[in-house]
Order: sequence, then C-alpha cells, then structure tokens
Amino acid sequence: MDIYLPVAEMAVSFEVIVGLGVAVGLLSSIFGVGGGFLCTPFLIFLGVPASFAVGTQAVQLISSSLSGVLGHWRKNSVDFKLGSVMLGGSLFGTVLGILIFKLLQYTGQIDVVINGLYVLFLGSIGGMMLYESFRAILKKKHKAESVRSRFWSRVTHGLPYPVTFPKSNLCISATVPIGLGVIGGLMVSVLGIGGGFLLVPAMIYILGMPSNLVIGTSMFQILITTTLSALLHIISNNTVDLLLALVLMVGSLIGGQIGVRLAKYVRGAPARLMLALILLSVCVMLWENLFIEPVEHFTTEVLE
Amino acid sequence: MRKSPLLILCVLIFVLILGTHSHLACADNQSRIVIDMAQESVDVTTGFSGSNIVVFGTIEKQGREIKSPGVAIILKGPNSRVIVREKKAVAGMWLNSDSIEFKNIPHFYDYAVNMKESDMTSAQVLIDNGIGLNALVFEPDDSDDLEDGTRFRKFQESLIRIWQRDGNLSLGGRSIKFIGNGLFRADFSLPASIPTGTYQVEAFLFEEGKLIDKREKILEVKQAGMSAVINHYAHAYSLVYALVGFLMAIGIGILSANLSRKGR
Repeated sequence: MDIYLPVAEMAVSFEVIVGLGVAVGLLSSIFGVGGGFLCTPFLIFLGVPASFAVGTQAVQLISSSLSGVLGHWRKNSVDFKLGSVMLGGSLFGTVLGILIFKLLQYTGQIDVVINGLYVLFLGSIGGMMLYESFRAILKKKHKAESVRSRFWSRVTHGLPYPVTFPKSNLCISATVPIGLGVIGGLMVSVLGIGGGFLLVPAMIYILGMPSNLVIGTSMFQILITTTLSALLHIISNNTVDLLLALVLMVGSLIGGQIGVRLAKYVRGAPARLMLALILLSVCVMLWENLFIEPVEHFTTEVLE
Repeated sequence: MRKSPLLILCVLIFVLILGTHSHLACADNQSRIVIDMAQESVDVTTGFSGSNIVVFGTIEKQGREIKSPGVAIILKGPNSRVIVREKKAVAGMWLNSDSIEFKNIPHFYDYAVNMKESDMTSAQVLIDNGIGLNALVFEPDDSDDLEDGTRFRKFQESLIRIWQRDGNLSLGGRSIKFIGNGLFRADFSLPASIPTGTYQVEAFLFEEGKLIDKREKILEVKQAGMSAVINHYAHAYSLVYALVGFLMAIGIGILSANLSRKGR
C-alpha cells in the first residue's frame, strides 16, 4: 500500500516506512542510539529528497529522545548540568548546520556530502566499537569501559574554564563538552541524526563520563537540539512531512516496545559488537553508493 | 496622403491574417472535434496511488464526410524547472560534476494518436502543435549550455530517459480507440508521484495532413482531504504546523516511555 506524503508531494510504500520505524525503535531501545543513521539514508534511498529526510527525521527524534530522557530521568541517570553545557555548543551547531545545509543544497552536492559523512562517521565509530568490543569480550571484562582514555585526558588537560560536574564526578574544561555539542548540533541539522552513536562513545572516551549517565545525558541534549532543528527546518525550508514523521514514530513506538523486552538479553560488550556490525553494514551500503559506478549516471531534481 | 501605400499594406496584411484565421475558425461547414473527460479534476489524497484519465470524444461531421480523420490528444502537466546532474568519478568517488538546468519543461507529458504520427501530418505541424516527444522544447536556463551540442543532447536524453522510467513522460503515443459512430476514447495513466497543478488536455483533428479543428480542456490535479489540509498548514501556518508536530512527537514519546516502564 502506498501513502501520499502531502508536503513532500510524493508516494511511498506504507509498509516500508513502518518497517523502517520499527527498526529505528529496536535500535534505540536496545542500544540507546537514535537510529537516525539508519533512517535518513534509507529514506533518501527510497527517493525522499535529502532535505525532507533530514527535516522529518528531526521531528521523529523528538519523540525517541524524549522517551529516552524520561526513562533515564526516572532512573536518575541524566547529568543535566553537563547536558546544559553541551547544549550551549549544540544550539550554535544546529543553526550553523542549517546554513551549511542550504549552501550544500544550492551547490547540488547535498546527497553526496551526506553520503560521504555517513561513510566516514559510521566507518570510524563502527570500526572502533568493533575493536573495543572484541577486546572486551576476549578479556571477559564486562563493565570497566567507562575509563577515559589516557590520550584524551592528556589532550584536554590544559584547556581553560574548568567546571565541576558533581553528578558525573568530573572536573573538565567547559570547552570540551561545548565542542562535542557543536558536533552534535551539526549532525542533527545536516545529517538528521541525534549523533548518539558518535556522542556516546565520545562522552565515555573523551569526557570520561560514567557510562550509566552517558545515554540519558546525550538524549537530553539531543531532545532540545532536535526541537530547534525541527523548528528551523519547518520555518526556513518547509521540509518536514508530518505524515511521514507520524508513520515513522508509530513504527518506532512498536519497535521500541519489542526492543525493551529484548534488551535484557543483549547487554554490554556483545550488544556493542552487534551495534558495531550494524553501523559497519550501513557504512558499506553507503560506501557502495559513493564508490561503485552507478547504473544511471544522471539524476534529475525538480526545482518547481 | 503620403502614407497611403503603407496604410494599404497594413490593411492588406490585416485582411490576409483574418482570411487565414477564418479558414480555421469560422468554417461552419467544417467538421469539429469534441472531447470530454470522465472527471474534470484528480484528487490527490493520502491514499493516492496514481489515477487513470479517460478522455473521450467524437467527431461532429458537418456536411461532407472527412477522409481518414487523424486524431491526436495530448495531456500535459504544469511547467517546471529541472536540474539534470551528471555523476562523474572524482578520485574514485562518484560526485555530481556537471549539470544543466532546464526551464519550462512539462512535469508530465503523454499523448495518444489514432494512426502513425507520420501518416497524420508533417513533422513540422506536429512540432508546432506540441504533439509527440519531438515537440517538447528543452530550453536551458543558461543559454551558454547550448554551445556544446553533444553535451546538451546528452543531458536532454538523460532527462527524457529518467522521466520515461518514472512514468512522467510518454513512451510513445498511446492509441485512441474508435468505439464506432465517430466516438473515440483515449486512456492515460498518471503515476502516484505526479506534481499537482493545472493540466491541459488538447485534442486535434486532422484531415489529410491538415489541421481542421482543435479543442482544449483543463484538468485540475490537486491535493484533497487530509492531504490538502496538511499541505496548506505546512506552508501557510508554519508555526502551527511545527507546534502540531511537536505535540505529536511529545505525545508518542511519553506514551513510549510509559509503555517501556511497564514492559521492563
């Protein structure tokens, strides 16, 4: 069955969109990542223009990150102070990202850039995670990965404006979480992803946050950032299709419920290994788009 | 009266124009073509998955019989600007390298004929009346793009190829079925992803290569129902639209969080 998207003005398969939502919901409830990295490229692959894929994804991210934040808030595993400092950077990153997006659209390279950035991020994070989780499994070390790597603690040591974050038991220069925030904001507005898969490991390895606080805190930051991003995409570009967003959100609600019940069976290093493999396979899929000669060398875009 | 030769010339031209015109328009004893459609508008709703357009019509004979009547019907969508981009390998990566922007390209074009176009009339008349794919004018936004003919043709052919595959451009004339007694019908199909706007339906009647009558009708393709409401709010009241989106997302988010708590 096809549904006609009223704002994107195109028809897409209803089942495929629901399925995509379910997959996103599963990923977010099992691994605590937004799942946007799967959703955005897939929507583009289905023929949804990149601008609509990214804009609509921002709305769907509101629901998934809100649900995540609420869950973590109850468990008292959100460091609001650290999240707020990150927000300073990510709100700036979001606005900057919207401008970059417009510029890329103008030059006609938006799809290629989105594709390339995904390959880069998914490849590097997936690869790192794969390596780390393998090592953890081999050493049978199940929870001690929250240790900040020695390299990053040396790099961030001398930076100005140190701030204490009692909840995370950290004292670190504010520039580091702000810098991470800028990257997070850029990812939300340019790539349509919360950036959890990049921010979560970065907060563990670079900030040295305890891993039980990381997901809740990053989701809190993503929630506010993506709300701003969705608003800007709607007002400045009109590239949010709420019908598409609704179908995706309902799908991900279903997937999320399945995932919650599955989550107790997948924990720790094996879970990260699975996530790493998923990230790498999406990466390979996109890599092919970019590096394998396409059957059709030409593309058309209607400007109205 | 010095200007009189010029005046006479003007009058002469006027009469001439009037004369050629009357040949087509005010010939009461000429046969006419009449068309209508089963529907005058296409409603694009959220369940829209393409639509069939049936154009039917008849030839009204006046006096004498027409010898081998040629009928052509075209269905043309609103004009649009289209960018065609070419991917080329740059350092192993397939990047959009070259592009041409076309303007005034109908976003949908299909036609139907009751005989081979070449049997109906001359190629020039077909082009003048916009019948057939050859009659489509591919005009670049930047006239410099015309300088390299091979390159321009390559982009033009790619646009045709891609749009034919998507169902937006005719694959060659559809056939017009004569049901009898001069009554005919032509079936068109609009794909699910057609653009909304005002479509034109034009019908032509030829006799031995000469155009003897022409009719035009309008087909409105517009969003309707829920779909139209959503689209209207998205563009006219962006803030309300955003707010609705937020409430929707917040509602689903809270629901999801509550369900998850129970499920754990």
